[in-house]
Amino acid sequence: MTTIDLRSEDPTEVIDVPRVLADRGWVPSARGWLARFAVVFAVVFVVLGAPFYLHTRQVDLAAAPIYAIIALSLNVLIGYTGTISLGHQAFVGIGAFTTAYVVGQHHQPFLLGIVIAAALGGFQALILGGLALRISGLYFALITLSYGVLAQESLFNIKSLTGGGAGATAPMPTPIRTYYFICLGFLALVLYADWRLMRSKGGRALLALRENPRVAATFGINVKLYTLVGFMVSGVFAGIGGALLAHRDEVVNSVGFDFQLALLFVLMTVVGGLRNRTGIVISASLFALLKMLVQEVPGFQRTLARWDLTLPVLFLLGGIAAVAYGVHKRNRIVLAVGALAGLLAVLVLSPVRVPYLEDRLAEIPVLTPERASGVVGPVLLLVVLTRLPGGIGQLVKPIQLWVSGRRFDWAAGRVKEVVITDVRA
Amino acid sequence: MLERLGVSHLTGTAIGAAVVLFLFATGHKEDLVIGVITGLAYSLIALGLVLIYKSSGIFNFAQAEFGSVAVFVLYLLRQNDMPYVPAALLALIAAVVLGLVVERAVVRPLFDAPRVTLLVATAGVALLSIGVTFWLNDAQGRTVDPAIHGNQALRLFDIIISWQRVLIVVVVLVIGATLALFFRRTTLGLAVLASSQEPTATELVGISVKRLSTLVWGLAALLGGLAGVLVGPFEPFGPGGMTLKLLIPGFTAAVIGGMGSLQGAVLGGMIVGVGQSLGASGGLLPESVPGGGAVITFVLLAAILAIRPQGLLGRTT
Repeated sequence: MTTIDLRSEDPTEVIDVPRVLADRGWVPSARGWLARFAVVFAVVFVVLGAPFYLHTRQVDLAAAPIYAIIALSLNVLIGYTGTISLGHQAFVGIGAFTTAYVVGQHHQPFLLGIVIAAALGGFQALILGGLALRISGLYFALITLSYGVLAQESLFNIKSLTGGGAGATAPMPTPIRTYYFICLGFLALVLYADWRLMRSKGGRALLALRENPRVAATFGINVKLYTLVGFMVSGVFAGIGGALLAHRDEVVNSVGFDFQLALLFVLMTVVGGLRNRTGIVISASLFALLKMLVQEVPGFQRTLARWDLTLPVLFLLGGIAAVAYGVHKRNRIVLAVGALAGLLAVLVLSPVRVPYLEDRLAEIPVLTPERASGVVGPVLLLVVLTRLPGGIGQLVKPIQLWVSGRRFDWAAGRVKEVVITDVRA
Repeated sequence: MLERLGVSHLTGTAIGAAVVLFLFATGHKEDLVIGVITGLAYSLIALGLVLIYKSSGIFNFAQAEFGSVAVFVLYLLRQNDMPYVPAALLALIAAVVLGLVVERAVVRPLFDAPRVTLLVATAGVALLSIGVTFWLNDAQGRTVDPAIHGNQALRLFDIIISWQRVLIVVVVLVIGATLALFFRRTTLGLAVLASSQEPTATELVGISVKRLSTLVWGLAALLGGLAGVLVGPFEPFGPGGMTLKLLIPGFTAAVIGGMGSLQGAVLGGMIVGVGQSLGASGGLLPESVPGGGAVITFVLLAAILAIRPQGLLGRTT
């Protein structure tokens, strides 16, 4: 039984209420614990053992923890402070070019490069945060977008600092297999920092001011201070991520830090599910490894090469589904479109030659891994925004709770809509 | 007319005239003229952005991508030897179809969602469109021919202006005037304004807000497509070329104008165009700092938002 003490020193203290009252005192059986232990063991094996059973493509593998760090950095901005950043490639790029300058040009130790990159990342985020205090919501999104382009076209091209168009070098400090574990270590560090931040007074203040800065201010939360703290933390995380990225690629070039990269970061974060660390790490790893997955999963690439077969089959399935839906809902338009699509697909698949269409279908280029990552990501984003607001985090939450010793509950972690910020926009 | 113009408008006009005179006197007249015309192309994007913002409060990050799709379709059709006019018309139709699909598939399900969520969604649409054009076309730059050939059309103060640029000026002026008439004189235009201010009340009067939304997205996509077809021929374009080239200047133009004002969008476009061509040609920044155009755009945007958030011609509400 908790009582509310109005004289409590900490005005933002959270009162601990059990999440599921009915499950109080429920403990899994011995076999239940064993199953949970097996799952944890499998996950640890997959993550830590990856460089040993995957002998090729370890450079790609190291991208997963790095992208996760960057996505967590963006999550601090979008998820916690509620300000969208479409210029996050600038945050990351500043980290990358800093470490290239410190380690590559001046031959300082690797760790020093990371520390300076993190500090500089935090500093530039602080300046941008100062702007965010005056400009908020949609307009701030524009500012960040413009800032990202400014960084790419101007800052990252200043020859004496970044080597201009040729790019700067940042050597990898260790063999790639060790480097993967170094990146994992930094990811663990960032996860821990993020977790501690959200459990502190500052983290709760951030959440409160995201939902409504005015109400938060009336409760005595220093809105300006905590917005700046949020920006700085995000900048420090992004600086670390950028530095690790630079040492993985070994060459940093301004061309790589374009607007699409910023959108990819937003995509990873939103698909992972805002304010959900596990979901974000999974989704960032997925996007980092997407190319590799397309290449490694057998048969996948061959399917994507034969569009003259794959596309009609997709059309046929879609047509059947649409007809069923149309009959069920008595929607004539859906029914007609579905029937038409199905008919077309059958015609193309049949030995009868359809003159124009079949030639065009044969001309569709192969969906290579590079091309696939450009198409799959945005589709996932749109699906998450319109149909599955909790993202991957929502899907993983029941498993997460189950592993931590609760009953399996499908409804756990369900989110109604992707809320970034309501009031300030 | 005069009494509606306040002191600030007079000051603004005076400052503008002074800047123009100064640039003319210091020999920047080529930057000025070319900047104004490029700026009018930005205005075309800005008009579409303002249209959508006015009707539903959405920042549409896919606006310039309508242009990319139009120019890509134009390129494909011209490859297959279709005459220019039908090819351009089909390209515009493709842009409009994309606009309608976006409205139906992305905007409708998120009708009541926070506006920032919609911003992310439209950015996702742009990214998807870039991904698909990359898949079909690779990153290679392609060229498409202009509507009117010939380099020497007009000589204005000893500056040669091509026919394509003259066409841009004419199209923007005609569209600006048409849109102004549409919102002031037609019932439909008034209905769009009403739906943006009070959606619920508009529904109660018997106007379908959803249909208006469809109409506006179609119109905006048409404007975006026009911008693409008109600007496309100047440089080789790759996937998402128009988004990289037009989106940020277009947004800056719309914000400078006040985000809700059509005249402001045209004016803002010209300001951004002149600023960029001055920044790119040098003189404003030290030699060692590249990318002058981007710096100028950022400074203009940040300054306007920090000093006069309602824009030059916007009204405070």
